[in-house]
Amino acid sequence: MTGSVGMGELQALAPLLVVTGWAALLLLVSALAGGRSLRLGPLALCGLLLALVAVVWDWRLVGAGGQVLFGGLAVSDRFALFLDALLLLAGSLTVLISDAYLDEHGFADDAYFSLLLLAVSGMMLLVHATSFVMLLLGLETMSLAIYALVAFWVGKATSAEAALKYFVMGAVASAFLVFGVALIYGVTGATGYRALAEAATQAAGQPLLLLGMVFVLGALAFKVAIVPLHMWVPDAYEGAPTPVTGLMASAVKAAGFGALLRLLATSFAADGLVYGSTGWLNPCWTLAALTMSLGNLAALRQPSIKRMLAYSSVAHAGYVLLGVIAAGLHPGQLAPVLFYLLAYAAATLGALGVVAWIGRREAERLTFEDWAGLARHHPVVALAMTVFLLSLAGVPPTGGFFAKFYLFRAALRDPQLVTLVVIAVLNSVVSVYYYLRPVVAMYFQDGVAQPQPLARPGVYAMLGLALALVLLLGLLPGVPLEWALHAQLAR
Amino acid sequence: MTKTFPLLWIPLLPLLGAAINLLCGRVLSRRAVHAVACGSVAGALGVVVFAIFGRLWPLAWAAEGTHVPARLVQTAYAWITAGSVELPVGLVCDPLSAVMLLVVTLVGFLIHLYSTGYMAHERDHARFFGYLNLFTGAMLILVLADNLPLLFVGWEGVGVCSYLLIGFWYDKDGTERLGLANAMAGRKAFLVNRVGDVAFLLGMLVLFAATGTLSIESLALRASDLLLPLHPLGLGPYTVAGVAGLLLFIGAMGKSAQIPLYVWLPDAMAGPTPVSALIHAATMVTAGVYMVARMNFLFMLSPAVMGLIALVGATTALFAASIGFAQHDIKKVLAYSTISQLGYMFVAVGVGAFSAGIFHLFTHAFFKACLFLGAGAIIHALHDEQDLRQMGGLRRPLATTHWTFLVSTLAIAGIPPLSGFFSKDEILWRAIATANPALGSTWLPALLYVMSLAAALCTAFYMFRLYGLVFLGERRGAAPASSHGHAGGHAGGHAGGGHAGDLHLPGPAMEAPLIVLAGGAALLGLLGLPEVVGAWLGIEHINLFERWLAPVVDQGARLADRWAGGHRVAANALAESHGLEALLLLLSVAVAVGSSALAWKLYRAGPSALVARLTARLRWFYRLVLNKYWVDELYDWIIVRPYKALAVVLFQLIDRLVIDRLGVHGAARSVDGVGRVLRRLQTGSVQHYVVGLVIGVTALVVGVVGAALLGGGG
Amino acid sequence: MLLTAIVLLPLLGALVVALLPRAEERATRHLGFAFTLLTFAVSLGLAAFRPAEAGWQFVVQRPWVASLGIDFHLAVDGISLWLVLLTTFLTPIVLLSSYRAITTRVKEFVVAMLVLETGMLGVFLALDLFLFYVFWELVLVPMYLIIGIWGHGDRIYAALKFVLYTVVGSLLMLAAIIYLYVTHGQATGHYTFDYPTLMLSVWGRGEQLWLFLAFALAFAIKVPLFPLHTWLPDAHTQAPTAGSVVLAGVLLKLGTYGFLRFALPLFPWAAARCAPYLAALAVIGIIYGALVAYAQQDAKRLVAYSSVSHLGFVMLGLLAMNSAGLQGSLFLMLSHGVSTGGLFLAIGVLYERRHTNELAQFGGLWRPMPIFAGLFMVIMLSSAGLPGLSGFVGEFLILVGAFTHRLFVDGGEQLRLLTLPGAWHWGPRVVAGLAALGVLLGAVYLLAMFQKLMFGPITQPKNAELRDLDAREIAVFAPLVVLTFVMGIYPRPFLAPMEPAVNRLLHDFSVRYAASRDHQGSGVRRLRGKLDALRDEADQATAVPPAPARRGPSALPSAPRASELPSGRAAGVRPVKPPLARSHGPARGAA
Repeated sequence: MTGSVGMGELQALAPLLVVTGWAALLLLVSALAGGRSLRLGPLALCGLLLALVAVVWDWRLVGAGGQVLFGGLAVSDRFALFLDALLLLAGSLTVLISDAYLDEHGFADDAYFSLLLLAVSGMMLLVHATSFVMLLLGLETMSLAIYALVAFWVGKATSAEAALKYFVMGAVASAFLVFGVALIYGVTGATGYRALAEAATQAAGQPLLLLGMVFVLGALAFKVAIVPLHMWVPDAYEGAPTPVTGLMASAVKAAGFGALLRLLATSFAADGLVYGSTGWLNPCWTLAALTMSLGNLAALRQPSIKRMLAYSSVAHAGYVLLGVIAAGLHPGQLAPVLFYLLAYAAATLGALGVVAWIGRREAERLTFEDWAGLARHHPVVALAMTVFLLSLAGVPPTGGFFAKFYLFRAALRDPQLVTLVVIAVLNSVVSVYYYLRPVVAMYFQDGVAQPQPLARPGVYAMLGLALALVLLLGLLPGVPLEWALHAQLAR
Repeated sequence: MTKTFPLLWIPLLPLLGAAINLLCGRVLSRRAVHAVACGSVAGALGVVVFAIFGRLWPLAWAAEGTHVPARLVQTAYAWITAGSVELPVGLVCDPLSAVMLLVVTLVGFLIHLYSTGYMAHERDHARFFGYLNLFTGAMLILVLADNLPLLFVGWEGVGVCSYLLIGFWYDKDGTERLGLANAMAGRKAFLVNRVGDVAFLLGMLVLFAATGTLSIESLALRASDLLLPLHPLGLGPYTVAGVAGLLLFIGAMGKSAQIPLYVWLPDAMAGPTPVSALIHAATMVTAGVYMVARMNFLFMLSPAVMGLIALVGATTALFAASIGFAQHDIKKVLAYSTISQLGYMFVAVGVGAFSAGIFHLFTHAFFKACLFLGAGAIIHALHDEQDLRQMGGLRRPLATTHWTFLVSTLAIAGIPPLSGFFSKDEILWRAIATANPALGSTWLPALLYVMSLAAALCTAFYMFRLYGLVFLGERRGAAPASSHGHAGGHAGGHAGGGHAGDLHLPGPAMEAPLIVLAGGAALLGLLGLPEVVGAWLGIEHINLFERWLAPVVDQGARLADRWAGGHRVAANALAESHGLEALLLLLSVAVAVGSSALAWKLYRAGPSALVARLTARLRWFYRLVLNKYWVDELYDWIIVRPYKALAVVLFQLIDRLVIDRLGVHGAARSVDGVGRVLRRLQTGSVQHYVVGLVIGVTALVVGVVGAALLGGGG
Repeated sequence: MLLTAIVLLPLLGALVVALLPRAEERATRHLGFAFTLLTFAVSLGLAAFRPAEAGWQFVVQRPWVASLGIDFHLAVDGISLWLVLLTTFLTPIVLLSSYRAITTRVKEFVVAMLVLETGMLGVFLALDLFLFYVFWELVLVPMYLIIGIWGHGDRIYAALKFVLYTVVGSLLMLAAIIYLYVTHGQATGHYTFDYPTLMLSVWGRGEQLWLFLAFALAFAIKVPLFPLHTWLPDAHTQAPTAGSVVLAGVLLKLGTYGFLRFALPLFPWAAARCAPYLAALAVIGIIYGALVAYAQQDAKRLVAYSSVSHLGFVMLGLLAMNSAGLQGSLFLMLSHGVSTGGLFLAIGVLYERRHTNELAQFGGLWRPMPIFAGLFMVIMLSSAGLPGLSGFVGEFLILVGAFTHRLFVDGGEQLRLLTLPGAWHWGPRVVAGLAALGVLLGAVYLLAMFQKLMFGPITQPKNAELRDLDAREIAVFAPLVVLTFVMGIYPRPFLAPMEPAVNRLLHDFSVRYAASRDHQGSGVRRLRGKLDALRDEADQATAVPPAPARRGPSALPSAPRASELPSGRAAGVRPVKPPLARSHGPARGAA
C-alpha cells in the first residue's frame, strides 16, 4: 500500500475533499463571525455546486473501470459518483430551503451548514468506501452530524428527544457494525471488501462469518430503516427540522443503500452467501415484504403529514430493497435501484419542502386540517405537492412511476420475485390512499383560515427544482437512465 | 311480376308532416297545422291510390292465374350491414300490403279530418297532429317493409306513437290525478307491447340463425331451413318454423291485444277518441294479424302453432265479448269489442283462412272506426261524458251520428247484407272447413266454431245494448253545463258545430268522415261475397277479395303442400259442400238477428226491469264480468309488485350490503385496522425501540445462522 | 402527425389556459372550448381514413425511451376511429354544457377537462403498451379532481372509491404489461412494448391465464362488469354533470376497448377459457343493472345503473367474437356515448334549475319545458333501443352476434365462448335470449323515469315556472339528438370502417388461439422465424396498408364476402395456419 497519493487519486478525491474542506471553511467563517449571525446558505451552496462540478469532471475521468483510492480503502467509480451527484443535489436542495427555514424558526445557523456539509461528506465517504475502515469512518461522520442536525431545533422539545432516541439507537447500530466487522475480521482476516470477497468464498458456510454479515448488514439496514429496524424513523423524522428530515429521507437512505449495494455486490457475492438457506436473499425477501407492507399500513392512519411521509419513506425502503434483491440475482443490474433512489429523493425532498414551506414559527401546520383548501389560495404549490405525492405513489407521468416501473421490470426478470412484485403492487394500491389524503385536504376541503406560508425565493427555488426533476424523470427518463446504466461498480 | 316504384314517399310524406308539426308547430297557425297534417296524409293516400290502381292492378291482371304475386318494390338504401347481416330499407307493395295501405291512408285521412274538428280547441294540437302523422308514417313503414327488422321499426314505431297519444292528456286534471293515470295507461301499453316485441326479436334471431336472412321474400324460399329441427333449452325437437312462429305470434299477441297480453287496450281508451279509432281499432292493433298473414308461409309450415293461434283467437273473442256485456264506459265497450273482433281475425289466420282474416280486418277497420268516431261525437256532444248510464235519447239531436252508428252496429252485429256479416261469416265457415292440417281431423274445428258463434251472439247483444242505451229511450242525467271542455278546456264556440240545448253538435269536419265510413261499413262486404252465393248465382270466384289476395296468402298453402304432404287436401274435403255452408250461414244470421232483437227489446227504453232482475239473479257472474275477471289485479299481484320488490331488494341487499359494505368497505376497513394497530405499536419510548431492534436482529441472526448451523451440521 | 396533434392539442390548451389570470373566467371558458373545438376540427382530418383497409393508419412512431424500447407509437384503425371521434365530439359539448354549472375554480376545471381529453384520446390511439398505460393512468387524476372538487353530496367518498377501484386493477395490469415486455425480451432478445410486435408472439397457457386476469380485472373495473360496478353509481351521482357525461360517454369505453384491443387478442387461449364466466357476468349485469335501476329514486343513479346494463350488452357482443357482435358492440359504445351522455346532460339541466336529482321533486315538466321534454324523450327512447334510433342498431347486432355465435378453430374445435358455466346446454342462444330481456327491462325503468319527470300534473309549484332550454343549451343537445337519428336511420357509414379491422382482429384471434393452444406450459413462442424479420414485417404492416384479399374468419352462419375480408397485419402470421374459423350452413342441432 503506497503512502503517497497520486495526482489521479487527488482528482478522484476532489468532490469529497471539496465538501469536507468547505465544511471546515464554513465552521471557520462562522467562528470568525463571532456572535453576528450571517447567512452562510449561499456559501454552502457554492461548495456543494463546486463539488457537483468536480463529480461531473470525475465522471469522464474515472471511466467505466473506476479508480482505486488509498490502496483499496476506497474507490471512485461511476456508481459512487452517481450517488455523489444525488447526495450533493439533495444537499443543495436542503441548503436552499434551510436558509429561510432557519431564520423563520429562529435558530442560529452557526454550525448548521458546516454540519450539513459534514454529513454529506460522510455519506459520500460511505458510498466510496471499499473497506470496513472507511465504512465505519463514513457512517460515523454522517451519523454524528445528523444527530446534531436533528437536535438543532433549539426550544423544541421533540427535536432534542428525537435526537436522543436516534442517537441511542444509532449507537446500538454502530455497535452492531463494529461487532460484525470484528467477527468477519476474526474469520477471514480481511477488512477490505475485495479481500473479504475472496476469503468469503472459502468460508462461505461459517456461522461466525454469517453472524458478522448479519450484524454489518443490520447496521446499514438500520440507517435505511428496514423493518424491524425502522422504529426510530417516525419520531426522528418528525422531531427534526423539516429540511433535515428531507436530508435524512433522501440522502441518508441513498448513501446507506449505496454502501449496502457495494457490500453485497462485492464482498458477499459468493453464491453461498447469496443463495440458499444461508444466503442473504431469502431474509431480504421477507424483510422487503415486511418493510413495504408495514410502512404503508402504518402510514395510513397518521394524523401528521410529516409522520406520514416518514412511514412512506420506510415503505420506499422496502421497494428499494426489492431492487437490491433483483440486483443481487443479476449482478450488475444496479441502474433500477439508482434511478429509484434518485426519483424517490426528488419527490420526498419536494414533499417535505412543501411541509417546510407551510410551517411557521407559531404553527408547524402538520395536520390535514391545516392543509384544507390550500389549492384555493396557493394553486401552484398545491399542484406541486400533488405531483410529488403522485410520484411517491407511482402514478404516471411522474418520475416515481417510471422508477417503480423500471424497478418492477428488473424484478420480474426473475420468476422468484413475481410474488414479491405482486406484494409491492398491492402495497402501492394501499399507498395511493394515504398519498391522496393531503390532496383531498388541499383540493376538496375548505380551509378555516388562509395559511401564511414561508414565501421566500429560496423555498420556491427549491420546490421548483424538485418539481422539475420529478417531471423530467417521468417524461424524459432517457438521459438519467443512461447515466444510471453507466454507473457500474468498479470490478 | 315485379316493378319498381317510389314507395318511400308513402311513409315519407306523413313523417315530413310530423317533422313540421313537431318542430315548428307552435309558430304555425291552427289552420296551417291542420293543412300540414291532413295534407301529408292525403298526399300519401294519393300516392297509394295511384300505386295500386295505376300500377299494381295491371300487374295483378297480367299475373292472374299464375301463382306469382304482383309486386311494386323499392330498395331505398342499405340500412344495416355487418358481417353477414345485410338489411336494406326495402319496401314492397303487393296485394296484401295494398289492402293495408288503403285502410291506413284512407281511414287515417278521414280520422285526421275528423280530428280537426274534434281537437279544434286542444291547446297543443300541433303536438297531437304531429304524433298522429308520425303514427301514420310508422304504420306505413310496417306495412311496406320487405324484411322483418324494418317491419320491426314500424312495429315499435307505432307502439311509441300509441304510448304518446294515450298519454296525450298527461296533465289533465281531475279526480285522482287523471293526467298521471293517462300517462300510466300509455306506459302500460308500451311495456305490454314490449313483452311481445322481445319475443318478436327472438323470433327474428331464430330465423336468422337458421336461414341467414331476414328478408321476407327470401325466407319464403328457405322452407328446407325452416323445417330444421331445433332444441330450445334442450327440449324439442321442434322445427325452426314452429319456434319462430310461436315467438312471432307472441309478438302479435302484444300488438293485437290477444290473451294474455290484451290488458293494455282497454286502458288505452284514455287517449283522445280519434286516437282510439285510428290506432286502437282500425290500424295498429291489426298489425299482428297483418304480420301473421304476411308470414303465412312460415305459419303454414307449423300447423300446431296455427292451431294455437286459432284457439287463442277464439278464446279472446269470447272472453272479451263477455266483458263487453257489463261495461258502463262507452269506449270500454268498444275497446272490448275490438279485442273480440281481433280474436276473430286470429281464428281466421289460425285456420289458414288468411284472406278471410284480412277481409274482416278490412271491414272492421271501417265499421269500428265509424263506431269510435260516433262515440267521439257523442262524448264530445256531452262534454266528455262517457258513462252510458248518463246517456240515452240522443237519436234526434245527433241524427247523423245516430244513423252512421246504427249502420256500423248492424255491420258489426253481422246482420246481412252489411260488410260485417260477410267477413264474419266467412271466418265462421272456415273455422269448420279449416285449412289447417293440425286441426283437420279433430273436434277442434267444431269447438272453434261454437266459441266464435257464441262470441258473435254476445257481440250482437252488447252492441245493441250500447245502441239502445245511447240513442233510444230518454236522456238520463244531464251533463253539467259548467264543465265545458276537453283537457285544455274550451275557449269559445265550435268549428262549424252548433249547440242544441247543452249539447255540442259535431261540425261537418266530424260528420263527413262518419258518413264515408258508414258507407264503407255498409257496402264493402260485397267485395267478399261467399262462394255459396256465387254458386247460386253461377259466378266463378265471386269473392273478389280472396281472388285479389290469393297469390300472396296461398304461398303458405303451396309450401305446406310441397313440404308437409297432403294433409291439407284431406282437411279441406269438407270445404266443398255448399249445402253445409248455406246451413251455417242461415244459423249465424239467425243468431245475429235474434240476439240483436233481444238486446233491442231489453234496452229500448234504458235498462229494463228484466235486466235489473237478471243482474240481481246472476250477481256473482255480473260482478265478475263488470270487474273484467280481475285480470288487471291479478297481473298487478303476480308481476308488477314482485318486480318492484325484487328491484329494491337486489339494490339494498346485493349492491349496498354484499358488494359495498362487506366487499369494498370490508377490505378497506381491514387494511385500515392494521394501520391503527401499527400506529399503536409506535409507543415513542426508546426502550421499546431498542428492544424491538434487538429482537429484530436476533431474529435475523437466528434465522440465518441457525440455517447455516443446520446446513453445516448436515 | 395528425394523431400527435389530436392527442397533444388539448394538453397544449391546458397549458395555455393554466397561464391565464384566474380572474378571466369567461376567457378561460371560451379558450378551453375553442381548444376542444379545434381538436374536434383536427380530428375531422380522420376523414382521410381509408375505410376499406384493415391495417393501422396515420401511424406515428418515434422512440421515447430508446434504451427500454418504449416508443411514442400512435395509430388508428377501424376500431379506434369512431371512439376517437366520439371523444373529440363529446368534450366540446361537455365544456359548453358546463358554462353555467361550473362557477367556482373555472380555470382548474377547464385544465382538468383538457388533460382528461388528452388521456382518453391517448388510450384509444396508443399502440405502445407503456404509452397506453401512461395515458390510462393520466385519465385517473383529472377525473378524480373533477368528482372531488366540483361534485356534490358525498363527493370525496365517491372520488376516492373511483380512484382506488381503478388503481387496484390498473397496477396489476402494469405488472402484467412489464411481464409481457420482459418475457418477450428474454425470449427474443428484443425488448419492446410495441403492441403489433407483441402480437407476433404467444404466451404459454400457464401464464396466459394470469396475464389475462390481470388485464381483464383492470378493464372489467372500468367497464364496469357486474360485481365490480359499485363505484359507478357513486361516481356518477356525486360528479358534476360534465364529469358524469365524460364518465358515461367515454371513460367506460376505455374498459371495453381494452378488452377488444388487448385482453382478448393478446391472450386468446385464456380469453376463451374465461369467456363463459365473463359472459355470465355480462348477462347478469344486463338484467341486474336494469332491475336495480328501476329501484332508484335519484335520476343520475338510475342512469348510472342503466350504463351497467348497456355495457353488459357491449361485453356480450365482444365475447360473441364474430363480425356482427363486435361491430354491434362498437356501435353500441358510440350510441351509448351519445344517448347516455345526453341523458346526463338532460339531468344536469334539471339540476342547474332545481339543484336536485330526486325524481320525486319533479313531475309534469312537459308543460313548462316542452322543447327540453321533446329532446329528452328522443334520447331516452334511443337509450331504450327503439328501432330507428341509434340504440337499436347496436343492440340488434349484438343479439344477432351472440345468438349466432359459433366459433370454429382448426381441428374442428368449437370454442364455446358464450356457453354459460355450469349449465352446458345453455348455449349462446339462451345467453342472447336472457340478454334480450334487457330490451324489455330497459324500457321499464326509462319510461318510469320519464313519466316521473315529465308527466302528470305539476306537483311542486317551483316546477311551474322552470325555464325551457335557452339557445346555448339547445346547441348542446341538438348535435346529440341529430346524431341519434342519423345513427339509427343510416348507420352504414359508421359500420363500414369497422368491418375490415374487426375481421382482422378475429383472424388474429383465431390464429393466435391455435398457436397458444398447442403451447402448453409457459414462455414466449414466436409465431415465426427470427423476430427482427418479423419486426420489419410488422413495421411495414403498420406503416403501409396491408394487401387485402385473404379470407378472414367469420363465425356467422352464411358465407362472408371473401373479397371484403382483408387479412390485416396477417403478414407476420401468414405461415402459421390458414384462417381458422370457417363459414358453414345454417345453425342446425342443439340451441
